[in-house]
Formats: sequence, structure tokens, C-alpha cells
Amino acid sequence: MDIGRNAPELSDLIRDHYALVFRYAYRLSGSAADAEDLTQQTFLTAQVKLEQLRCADNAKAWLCTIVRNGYLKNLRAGNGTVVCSLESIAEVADATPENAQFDQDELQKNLNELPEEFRTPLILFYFEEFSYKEIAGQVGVPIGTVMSRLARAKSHLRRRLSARPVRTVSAHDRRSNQAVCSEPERV
Amino acid sequence: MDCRSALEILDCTRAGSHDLQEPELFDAKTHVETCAACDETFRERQMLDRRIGELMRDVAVPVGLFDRLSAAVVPTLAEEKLTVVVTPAENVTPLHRATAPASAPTQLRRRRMRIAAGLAACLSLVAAIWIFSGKSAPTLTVDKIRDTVPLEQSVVEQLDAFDERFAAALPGGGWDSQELDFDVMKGFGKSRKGGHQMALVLFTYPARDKSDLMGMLAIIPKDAVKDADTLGTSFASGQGNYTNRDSEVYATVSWTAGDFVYVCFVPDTEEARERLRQVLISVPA
Repeated sequence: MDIGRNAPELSDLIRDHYALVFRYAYRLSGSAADAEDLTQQTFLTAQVKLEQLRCADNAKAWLCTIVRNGYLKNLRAGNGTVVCSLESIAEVADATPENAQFDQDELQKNLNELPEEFRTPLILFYFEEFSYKEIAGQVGVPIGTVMSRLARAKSHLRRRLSARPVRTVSAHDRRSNQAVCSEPERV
Repeated sequence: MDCRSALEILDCTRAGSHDLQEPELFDAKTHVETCAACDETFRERQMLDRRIGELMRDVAVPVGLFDRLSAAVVPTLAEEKLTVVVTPAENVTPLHRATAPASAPTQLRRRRMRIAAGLAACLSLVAAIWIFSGKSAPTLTVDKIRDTVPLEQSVVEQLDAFDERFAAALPGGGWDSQELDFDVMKGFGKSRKGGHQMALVLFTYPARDKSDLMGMLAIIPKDAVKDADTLGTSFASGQGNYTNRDSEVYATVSWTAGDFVYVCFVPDTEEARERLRQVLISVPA
């Protein structure tokens, strides 16, 4: 695919981005079967709306937006995963690289627990494809909101993926010689 | 800026990227660089981010997904034989696929099945309407029959034998009289369903002291004649008319009996009509 070309072909889009689209869809839905459906749905939509994509450079973001819209549409149709509020999740201590032991299933399980507005920027962030500014553009919220959501979602993920026992915020705050590195405001 | 705010702001930066160069992150970056605890926490979080990121991106793409997409989304792509760089992850089928076999109908397949079913239903409806309309709206009329059937003996004799698409039967009311001599049934016209539209049969009947007279009877299914219901139900009560063909005038009588419309053609002479009438009414129906 010629990056500078203005009118990308659908075949180029599929070839260059189908893996990213599938992975994103998988992390959003938590199911390979749903992800494949969502991937097909995404490229079908892309096929219909291809003329909207005027610059091949924007293809990745454009496709990811279609994925998310399709996912939300399915979610509204009742096909989505049940998520719980971060408020209802027991607080645990922040994880460190040394004590954090987790695998794919645990990661996906904790992702599924996140509300969509937190899960989407988190996935995009960890895919390392988009900066927080680009993520803000994709989800259509101010940059500050994305930064806040990223921080809260990452904090949740760190705590959930930690093997440490449950602790409270007050206990965390009492940690000695920790320079006020307390948790950001919970969602 | 305090530690909490600085670390929260820097949470949006990707490890190893240029995000830290963004101007709005300058204060947070400065704080972390000057705060040992924050610096350590930030480094730990970035290490954890790397691990989570690696795991997050490590999603096995189903084997054959590209081909399925190409075939399903843009069927023509399958013929282009595009070169695909297969990543190592593609060689692994995720465990999740075990609960969703590749043959499971996808949304696209289901959509196509729904479209196909809809088209089939529409086609069936159109076919049904066509068939129904074909039965309920015949275009053949008695006048058209009179105007189109061949009346020359030689022409009629050269027609194909009637294909018996319908069970053409002679009418009652003396038409089975021994005085009438019927030729072989011939077929004429093409019906909508194929086959002959009507049966034609030449007959002869005796003329007193002269050579025999010849007539012709056309037998047509009643449901193929638009104005069949306007006709009488016997030869005696049938609709009389005249047909002029090649300077010859023929007297015609049209009537319905059973499932058929009959149209009789005889030479328009007083003798012929009278003789035929006598033959037909000599034997009660």
C-alpha cells in the first residue's frame, strides 16, 4: 500500500490492517468468534464508505473507529459483554513488575470488566499505534479526558493484575517514604 | 505539581515513544526527573506497561482470516492472489476458536443467507403472481379465434397433430351423430405453458343431393378464453357470427360446454347451416 496515495483500495486496507483490526476487535469483545464477525463487519462497512477515506495515512484510525462503532452497535443490540463499574471492584495495591504475574486470560478478564469508555483508550494505548492525542480524536473526547481515563484504567489494570492482597487507599497513603504516589481518583 | 498529578499525567505516555516531548507534559516530566520516588515508580510502571502491551498485542490471528475476508468482503480479491506476510501469531489458533469453529456462520454469511432467502421469496412471489395472472387473465377472445384460425382445408390438414396438452373432447348435443365424420385433430397456436393452444378438427356432413359439406370445430380450454362467460352453453344457444376469409364467408357459432369453448365454422350458405342444424338437433343432447 502506498502510504501517500489518496485513494486506497479496499484490498490494500484488508491486507495492511486486518490483523490490527482483528486484534482490536478481539480485545474489545473478548471473543475470537465475535472478533472475526466484527472484523468482517468492519471491512464491509469500509467497503461501503470507502470514499470517506481520502487519505491512506488515516486508514488505521479510520478502521479502528469503524471497529469501535460496530462493537458499540452490537453492544446496544444486546450482544455485548457485561461490564461492571470500577466502583464495585475491590481496591488492591498497585502492582510492580516484580510481583505482577498474569496471563492472557487474566488480562482479558480484567479488560472485560472495564466500562467501554475506559477499555477502548486503554487498548489503543497498549497497541502502541496511537498517541493519546490520536486516541482522543478516535473516541471523540477532549485530550484531558483521554488522559484521565487512561490513568484510571491503567491504575485499575495494575491493581487487578497484582498478586498482592487487597489494601485500602488509606493504607496505601500510609506507605512510608513514598512521595505521595497515591492512586489517582478512581473511576 | 505533586507526585500524584505528575504520575497520572505521564500515564498517557507510551514507553519508548516521543510522547514525553509533548509541551503539555513538560511539568510532569520535570517533576518526575527531580523526584526519586516518582522516578522509580514511573520506571516501574513503564516496565509493567511494556509487559501488558506485549501481552495485549499478542492476539493470535485466526488462520485463513485474510482469505476469508478477501473472499467475503471483496470476492474479486480472491482471484488477485495477493501476497500476504504471515506473522508467527497466525500459525496459532487461539483457544477461543475452539468454541467457535471456523465453519460457524459469520455475520456476513448470515446476512447473505438472509438476502438470498429474501430474493428467493421475492422470486417465488413473482412466479406465483405470473402463474396466477396467467390463469386469471387470459388474452384470447372468441373474436381472435375466429380471426386467426386457418380455415383452408389444405392448411388445416398440414398442421401438426394435436399434442393433447388438454383432453379435448367433442361437445354433446348431436356432435356424436353418425352423420358427422370427423378428421384427425390438429393442433394450433402456442399456449403460455407450451403446447398447442387449441385443437382443430375438420368434419364433414352430408348435403342432400349434393356433395358433402365440410366444417371445422375449434376446441379451446374455457379458462384460456377471456370472454367465455358471455357465450351460450349449447350450439343452439351459441353466439352466431360471420367470418370473412379470402372472399369466403363462414358462419360461426361459439358456445361453451364443460371445460371448453367451441367455435364451429361452416360455409355461409343457407343449405349448409340448415343441414348442420338438422344434424345437430336430430339427436338430443
